[in-house]
This record gives sequence, C-alpha cells and structure tokens, in this order.
Amino acid sequence: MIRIFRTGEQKIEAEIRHLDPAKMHVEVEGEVNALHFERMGRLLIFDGERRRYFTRAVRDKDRIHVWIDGRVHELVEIEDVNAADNADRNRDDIRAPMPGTVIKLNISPGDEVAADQVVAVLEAMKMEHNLRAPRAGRVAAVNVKTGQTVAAEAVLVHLEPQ
Amino acid sequence: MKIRSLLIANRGEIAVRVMRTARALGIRTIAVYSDADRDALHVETADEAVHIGASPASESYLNIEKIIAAAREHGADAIHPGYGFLSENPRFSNAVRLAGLIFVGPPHDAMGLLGDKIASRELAIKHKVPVTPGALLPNPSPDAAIAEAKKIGYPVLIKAAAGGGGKGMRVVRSEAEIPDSLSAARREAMSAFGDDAVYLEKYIDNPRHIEFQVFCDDHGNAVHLGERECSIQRRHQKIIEESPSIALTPELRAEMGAAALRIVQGAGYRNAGTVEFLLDGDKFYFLEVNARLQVEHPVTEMVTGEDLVAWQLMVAAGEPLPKKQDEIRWRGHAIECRVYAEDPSSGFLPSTGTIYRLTEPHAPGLRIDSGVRDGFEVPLFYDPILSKVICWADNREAARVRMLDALRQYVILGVRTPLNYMQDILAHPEFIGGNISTHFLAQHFSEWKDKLPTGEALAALLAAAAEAKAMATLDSPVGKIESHTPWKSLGSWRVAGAGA
Repeated sequence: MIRIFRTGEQKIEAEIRHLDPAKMHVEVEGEVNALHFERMGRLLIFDGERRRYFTRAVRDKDRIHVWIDGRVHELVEIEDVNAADNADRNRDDIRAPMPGTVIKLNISPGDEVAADQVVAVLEAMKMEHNLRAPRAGRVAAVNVKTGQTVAAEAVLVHLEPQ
Repeated sequence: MKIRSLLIANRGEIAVRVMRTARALGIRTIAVYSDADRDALHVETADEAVHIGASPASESYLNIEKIIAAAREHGADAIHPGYGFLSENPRFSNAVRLAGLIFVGPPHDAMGLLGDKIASRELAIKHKVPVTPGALLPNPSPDAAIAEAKKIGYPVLIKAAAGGGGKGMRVVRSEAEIPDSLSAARREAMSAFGDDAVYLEKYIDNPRHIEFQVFCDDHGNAVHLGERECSIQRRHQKIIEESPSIALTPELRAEMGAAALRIVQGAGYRNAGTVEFLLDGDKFYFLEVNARLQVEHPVTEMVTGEDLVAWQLMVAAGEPLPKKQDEIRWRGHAIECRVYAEDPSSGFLPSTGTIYRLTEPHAPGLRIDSGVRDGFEVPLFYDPILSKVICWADNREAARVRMLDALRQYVILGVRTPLNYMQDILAHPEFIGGNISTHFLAQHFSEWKDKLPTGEALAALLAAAAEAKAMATLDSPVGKIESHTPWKSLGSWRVAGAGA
C-alpha cells in the first residue's frame, strides 16, 4: 500500500510491505530498502543493509514525532489522498495557528482582501502573529471580536468560496 | 542576617536551578505554583510548595500580595525572584523589604533607576561610558525627527522611549522614510506602553551583543565576572550565548568591565546585574542594565567556576563578595543553547502540548538546567522556555562540537523545539568562524527549513512513523484525571513572565 506522509511543506510517498512482523521492505524515492525491525522498550530499532537505526517515536493524535540520527521529525500521514488535495485547495478559512488572543482585526464582512494581506493579529506567549489571507477574495464572515481568546485551529475569518 | 529558608517566586528551569544551590547550602526551599504547574518540576524539587492561584500569571506569579503572604506563612527569610515575572519590579522588591524579608536582588531605587532607559543612559554619560548618539523626542513631530536624524547621521533607529522587546522599533535609512516610520513607531509605542514618546538613536548595522556580569555587595566591593556574547538572537531574543567572546582583547575586556562597574556603582547597585553593550569593531556602546540574574548566567559559571546564585545569597545576607577582581579566573569556553517550546520553521510560534518522551544528554563538561520532565504538559500561560543546555570545553571549537553532540542526544518528543535548528546554527561556517552579529539569524537563517534524512535512513524514519501510527495513543501522564490543557476549557488567560 502506498502511504503518504507530510512533514513541513514536503510530501513523501512510500510503500511499506511487511514480509513478516519483523521484516519489511520500504520503497521510497524509487529505492527498495530491506529493514529488520525490533522493539526494545521505548526504542524502535531498524537493521538496514548499511547500518542500524535507533529511533524513538510517539503519536499524538494525527501527529507523529520521530527521533532519528539526532534529529526530531514531525509527520502526519495523509489517509485520504483525494481529501488531502481538496484540503490544499480549500483555502476559504483563516484559522488560528495556536491558541491566543485576537488583538487586532483589519477586516469586516464584505471587504475585499488581497492574497497575503494581514487580516488579523493574534497574540500568545508574548508574541504577536500576523494572520494573512491565503488568497484574494471577499470576506464572508468574521467569527471573532477583538480581545477574544481562541483555541488552536478555530476559524477566525471565512472567505466567500471561489 | 543568615538566610535559612528561601521562597522562590518563579517557575520552570530558573526556579529549579535556584533551589539546587539553596538546598546544597542547607537552606530550606519554598516553591510557589499556579494551577497549571501543580505537577511541575519546581514544585517537586522544593522542600515545601504553596499554591498561589490560577494559571494566568497575573493571578499567580505576578501577584505580589499572595507571594508575600506565602512567604510569611511558611516562615521564609528571603525571596529570590528568578528572571522575568516580578524580578525587575521595584514595587515587588520594596514590598518584600517592607514585609521584613530579604529580597535577593538590588535595592528598589537602584532597580527603578536602571529600569528607566533614559535615566540609565544619562547615568552612563555621567560616568563616561560611551552611548550611541541619540536624542529623546517627547512630542515627536516629523520635522523634529528629521532635524535630529540629520545630527545623528543615517541609519537611525526609532524606538519607544518606554519600551523593550523590539516593540515600536524602526530602522530608518533616509529622510524620506521618517514620516511613515515615525507614525508607525508612535502607534506601536502607544499601544504597547501607553506612551508615544520615541527615542532616536544611531543604528549600528552589524553589532555584536556583549554583556558583562557584575556583582556589588553592601561593603563597597564591586567586581565583574567577564563577558557573555549573545549575538545569536531571533526577534531580539537570545537563543545561543557564549563566554568569552572571541571579539574581545584583554585590553578591551578590562575597559568594558571597568565601564560596566562605573554604571552600577553610580546607581548604588547591589547583588547580581548585567550591563549590556553593543560592540561595533572595537567601539562599544552602553545599551541597558538588567537588574537580576540572567537566563544565560550559566556560561559565566562554567568559565569562572563560581556559583552565581550562591554569590547572590551571600550578598543578600550582607556578607562581602567571596572574591576580589584579581582573584577571579577564567578558563576555557562555554556555550549555552536555550530550548524553547517553539517552532523555528513557522516563525517561532509557541508550541504547547505534552512532553511524551524526554531523554537528556550526558557528557563530561555538560550541564542541563531543566524545568520539565517526562509527561509534563507545557502550559501556554508563560514564557515557553523548557531548559538550557550548557557545555564547557578548553576552547570555543571544542565547546561547539560538544554542544552539537549534546543537542543530537537530546530527545524531546511531543512539543516542537529548536533542537534541529540550533544544530544547523552550530554547524554553519560563519558561526564556526565566529563571524557573528545580532543579524546573524536574519542573514543566514530566515529561510531555514528542516531537512529530512535520505536513502536508507529516510526509509527507517518512515518505517518508525508507520509503527508509531499503529501504536495505541500515547501513555498520557499517569493518574492525571483533570487536565489543564486550554483546548478543553479556554477561559480568559494572559501571558506574562518575560525571559531575559
């Protein structure tokens, strides 16, 4: 089965075939890598043809954090490829990237916004963060007021669908 | 007066660090904590812990009355403020003294004087310490600003007279930019500090940030413990610091150290303080005094072999400084990396969440000052510093390599950290060569993206991700019935408690 992981702005496709519980073939970037897997306490250990990889990994809902070779990587598996593509295109919502307080709103319903225009300013942990329009369009709804505390991922501004 | 019990009016790594020294000196330690911190490491580390209120700092770590009441009820002789929160609030240090307790820090009048940018600048001028050419504009008009900028010479920096933390700051390179930049700076200054007076000063293009650790006692003694270079900053916040600075000659060090002491002695200062300078080639300019222990104090401890918290407690108890200037020795090189819960690939947004896996590095010459442990939920209410990695070696290059190795061994899973980012900074040729300034990160790392492994290592990474995906959802913190995460209940909250 082809599996797709997203990390940062990168998407990686891989096919992971289990030959038995401890043996797998991971095909990525056109190469098949044979790995032998074992678990030791919190360590996930993979034996490759070149060397051994000692990794640590946890999952927090859909976010997967993996430590390998001295660095941590955060990945999300894209379960439904079509849904993921739709999500890429569905840029009608401007969401809070973190919990915080809305300290400024620059737009009202009906306003035309340009792509990248700052529509709101959010403050959390001493920092101000500019929220920008993902595309040009007309503001359909503003769901918050200045001074309001919002949760991460809350939709603050909705643009009229294109 | 001897200190037998000490209340630490802070949280996180600095509270734990102060307690470690106090406990080693046989002093009983008293922690204070908010709702969000009931399971925090500083609560566990203390001999006693007092709940002082709700999670927002204004209801707990910034509540002067509650902290002093806790100190009285638990028989504390003294209060250590740490950094951030109330550490530089003269009203707090005065209230502590009026309550008959020892404040481990400077007297409130010296603190107030040095906390005032304009007054401390005048103090520097009076004591023949160089300052950047500049002028205060109490009622700023474009014409007045243009006239002053002409005298100072472009580029100039317009900044809030009352401010700090980069708010209300604008660099102006020509007369044409003055009107727009001035009104923007005034607007930001008014909204951040309620005062739109601005300050115009010469802008130095690629300065190094050099600061001196100073100490004064009640007996007229004052010493400096050398410098720290803190040029690696993002958004005016330091993230990597080192001592000594490769930019200082012994002569320049002696000159800057003497200048730093003239300022604090002129202010009637006591206890630990830091005098900050900008260094442009071999010219230095006074910036400000931080009237407290700094986040980055451990690099000074590593190169001098002194415990600055122990010094603070001695001075607060009225004892003389343990060493004279010519008894202070420096050896080797130390580097500190600050580990914040933040995401360097998305503009350093704070990252809250649970630390599901924590493995700290161990090596000779390595020290970890941490405020967190496995299973800890990082609250969003406070400054997001998790820990500091400090290492020492014979020279800068050896310390750099040791630090790189330590960051690679440091496993924090669950919240985003700049550990990968800082590895790339330490491996950058210009950092290795010591060609750094306060614009280093803006120049070399503004487009930073994390990189993935390649080949077989990438296959192992994805296989590990697939295994993690198949795992049951995480071992959440044991026995935690009620969670404080704001995603479940988001009441009103505020953020406070700035670091250094």
